Amino acid sequence: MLSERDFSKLSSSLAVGFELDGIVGTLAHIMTAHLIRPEDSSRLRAAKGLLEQIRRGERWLDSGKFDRHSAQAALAFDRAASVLAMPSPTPADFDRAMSKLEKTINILLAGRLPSDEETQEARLFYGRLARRVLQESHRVASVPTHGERPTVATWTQAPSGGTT
Amino acid sequence: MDTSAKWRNHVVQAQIDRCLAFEDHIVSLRRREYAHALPPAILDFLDRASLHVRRRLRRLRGDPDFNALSDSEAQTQISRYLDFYQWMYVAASLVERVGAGDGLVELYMPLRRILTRALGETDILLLPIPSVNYSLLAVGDGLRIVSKTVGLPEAALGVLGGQVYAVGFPGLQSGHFLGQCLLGHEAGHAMYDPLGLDNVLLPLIQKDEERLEELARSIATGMPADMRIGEVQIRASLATAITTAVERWVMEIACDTIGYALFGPAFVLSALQFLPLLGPLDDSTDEYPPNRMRLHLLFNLLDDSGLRYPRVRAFLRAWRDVASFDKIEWSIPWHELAGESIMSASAEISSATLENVEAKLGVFDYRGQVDYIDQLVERMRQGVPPNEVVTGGTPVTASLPCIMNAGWFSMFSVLQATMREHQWTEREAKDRMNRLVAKAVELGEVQTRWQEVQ
Repeated sequence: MLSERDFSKLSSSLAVGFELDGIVGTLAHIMTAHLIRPEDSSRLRAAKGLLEQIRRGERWLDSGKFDRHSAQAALAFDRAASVLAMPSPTPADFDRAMSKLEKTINILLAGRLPSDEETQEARLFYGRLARRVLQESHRVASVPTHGERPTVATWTQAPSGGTT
Repeated sequence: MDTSAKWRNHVVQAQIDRCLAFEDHIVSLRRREYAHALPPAILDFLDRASLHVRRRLRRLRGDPDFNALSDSEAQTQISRYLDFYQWMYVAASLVERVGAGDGLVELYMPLRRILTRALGETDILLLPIPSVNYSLLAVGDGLRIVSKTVGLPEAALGVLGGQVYAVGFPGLQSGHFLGQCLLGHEAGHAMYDPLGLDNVLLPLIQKDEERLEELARSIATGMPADMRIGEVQIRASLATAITTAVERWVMEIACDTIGYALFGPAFVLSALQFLPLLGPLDDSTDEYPPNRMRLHLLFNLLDDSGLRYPRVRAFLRAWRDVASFDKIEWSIPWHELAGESIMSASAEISSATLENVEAKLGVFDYRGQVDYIDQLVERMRQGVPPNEVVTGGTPVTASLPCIMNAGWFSMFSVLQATMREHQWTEREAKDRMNRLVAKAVELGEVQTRWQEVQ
């Protein structure tokens, strides 16, 4: 049985993961069909919400306070920093990348189509985030009991915890 | 190379087959008899969820969004269903555990009563777990999040849409009844979010910006150049580590405070017996503060000046000295930072927590019950369950915290005499005393319910 913490972590990463999958699917469809459907707007709003959360996390060290949202925002920032397609971004690089994504999503929300390159960049970003969240939930789901690490090898996992 | 439609069909079908296997598992679990209404309700929900997800998977084949995905995007999305399946399997395993081993049945109603008073109608499952630890799983919350995520209607939750918790306790320690005061901490976890304690407590913590900046700089400077970890990643990781630690530690400390509010000194004695066994006192994780810090804060709450039992007082005095925050040897710099920030606000955290709990449940007033508890200890000395005290011919039913405190005080002050009198080993005597206390809780519950229907 997963611990309480792991169960709720898995519940919330499933929620975030399915949301990200929906965003990626929407962006993929927009790129293929070159149109925005009315039903895309809720997913695009979710995409914007995620960017806002990342921005709150980005600002936390400088000006943030502790509240019930700070850990979630910091985690969103951490995920975003880890999936940016650049080896070691400076804060200015990060800011530029986020601004570009914000611009793309805002154009889509206004019902217009950005360039294919811009949509592709957004799709890649959300796709990597979706994958990172999947890796997190795999890690949680593969811990078999209350925080104990597996002591026997399973089909895909060595006793050390590394994968074979 | 793009994945072929054939491959996509294959993996989608494999996930559908998993759901079908899961539904077979539910059928076998349904054949069992349950004395409790929750397990069948959980099984019904999981069955509906599996069916819903299976339909959703089937629709993927004609879904234009899914068909527009690249190979790796499609793999990610399909794999998500594997985690969903694992989640459902864990939820089903709760039901499998119902009735396994000793279930601390005496505590079911008292604990449920406490939570219902604090949160409105609440139901619980008390489950032994194969671990030396306690846990509280907000089953209702988990099911709500996931059912919303996969697009199930709210009505699918049925009775599970309310407050439902699975409370895990160390299966092998169920015989140590007195130690179960720690369930007060788990009750705290159940109350923490619904009472909005995070909203009240987290803003009390001040961030030490200067030291945080200094820490971020020192991590960056100490990083080997070929690690290629940039400033942004360092800041992101540090922000996550600090905010997670503060959020989690404040919750753990508040839940300890709630445990103390419910059980008074008995909670501290239970914690002193349990926490030092979990590992070195100064070990900390992103999720748990060092146990020395938790004990220090419990001693800040404990007013033991009214305690009449010299052995209990001597025991607590010795531990008070060990459990000093200043003695903590920190091994993780951001944990030290989190610990110090929380310590600075610890008085406010305790009083705000107690204030909230007081409004809902009242706080156990040990000092106001000293004489009454003494009489319960006397019953323990005589080998009688301490479920009531008869004053002037009228029996006054003992509350759960009074029974537990009387039990703990007896363990210190009556144990030796009991061993001598009955020629019992220490283990036998402790076992008998724990059983007396369990019996008292059971009898106290019978009396309470009898009084309710009078």
